[in-house]
Amino acid sequence: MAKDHETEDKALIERLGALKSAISHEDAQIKLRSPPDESDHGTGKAIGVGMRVTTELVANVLVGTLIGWQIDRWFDTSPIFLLIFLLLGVASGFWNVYRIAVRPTDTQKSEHK
Amino acid sequence: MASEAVVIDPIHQFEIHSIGQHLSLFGTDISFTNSSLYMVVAVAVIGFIMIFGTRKRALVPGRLQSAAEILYEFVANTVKSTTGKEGLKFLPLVFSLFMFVMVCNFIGLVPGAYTVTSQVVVTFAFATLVMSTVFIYGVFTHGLHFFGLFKPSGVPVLLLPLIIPIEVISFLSRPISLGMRLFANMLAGHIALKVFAGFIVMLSAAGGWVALSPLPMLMIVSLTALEFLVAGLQAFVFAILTCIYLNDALHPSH
Repeated sequence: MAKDHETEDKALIERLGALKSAISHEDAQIKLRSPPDESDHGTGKAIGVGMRVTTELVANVLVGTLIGWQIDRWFDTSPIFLLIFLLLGVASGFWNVYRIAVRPTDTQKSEHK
Repeated sequence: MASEAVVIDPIHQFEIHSIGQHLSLFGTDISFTNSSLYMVVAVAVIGFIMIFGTRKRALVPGRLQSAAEILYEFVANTVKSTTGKEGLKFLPLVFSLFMFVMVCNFIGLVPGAYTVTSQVVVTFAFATLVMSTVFIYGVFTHGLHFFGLFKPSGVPVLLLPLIIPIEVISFLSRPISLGMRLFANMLAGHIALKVFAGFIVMLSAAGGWVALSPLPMLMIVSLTALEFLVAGLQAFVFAILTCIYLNDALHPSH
């Protein structure tokens, strides 16, 4: 009886292993067949980046100007801080655009591969 | 002269007026307006899609269920790919913002409907919500280390007085650009539609020139298609930028 059980267990374990490998093989096949993620909204992403760049420029200049204007009102030093922060705003606008631009886009990444 | 009889006011569509009686609380006008009505409509639409879409939980999803599933998976993937696994705790926030903005944009495309997201107050409120979440969560979990965001590593000490104000300005400009982009896109698109519609009215009032009126009509058709793209895209951009900013709060050193 005990021996029967042993052989039965062995057969079951063997079968389990075979099924497992079959499943993993099938999984790999499915992965190969399905397209890679996010390949289809590349255009949407590109338009999104473009919109970011335009508003980034405007918003930074606006915020810099507002900070300078407010500091000038507090300390009665018009227009020194307005000018300084206006320039800083322009600088940070371009800096942000540069930071967006240096990041490789999806198409470039796939070309390098 | 005949065209002057027709009043064309492309801004009129953005006017807010109260529905029912005026209510005020501590001197603030809190009456129920057409804007609030469309917000309620948007929430009802979202609730309908999500509640009825997920109620059956069929293995083979129906139309509504697959719409709900696609939306959820799309946002979840966006969050995961930009902020990593730990960013998923912000998924409810990002998903709610994305759905609300998207549904409001699409409702605004229905002729005669009000576009909630064309009000700068609404979009700035969303942007402020996002940025205060980033700031509070960042300071709460990373403490003073969060302010390392303003000091990029590897910058010479001599340049720091210049770099730190620039970084502060660029941090402060994020809510502005986030809110402004959505508001400006919706406002500009709807004004353009109204202006071209006004051309048709003017042309038909100008005698023989009515023969030209199919031209602005064609323009309206193509602009409407563009507006559909913009409505979905702006919601997507809003969501992905929210994720990028949340990423700064999760991993402040870049």
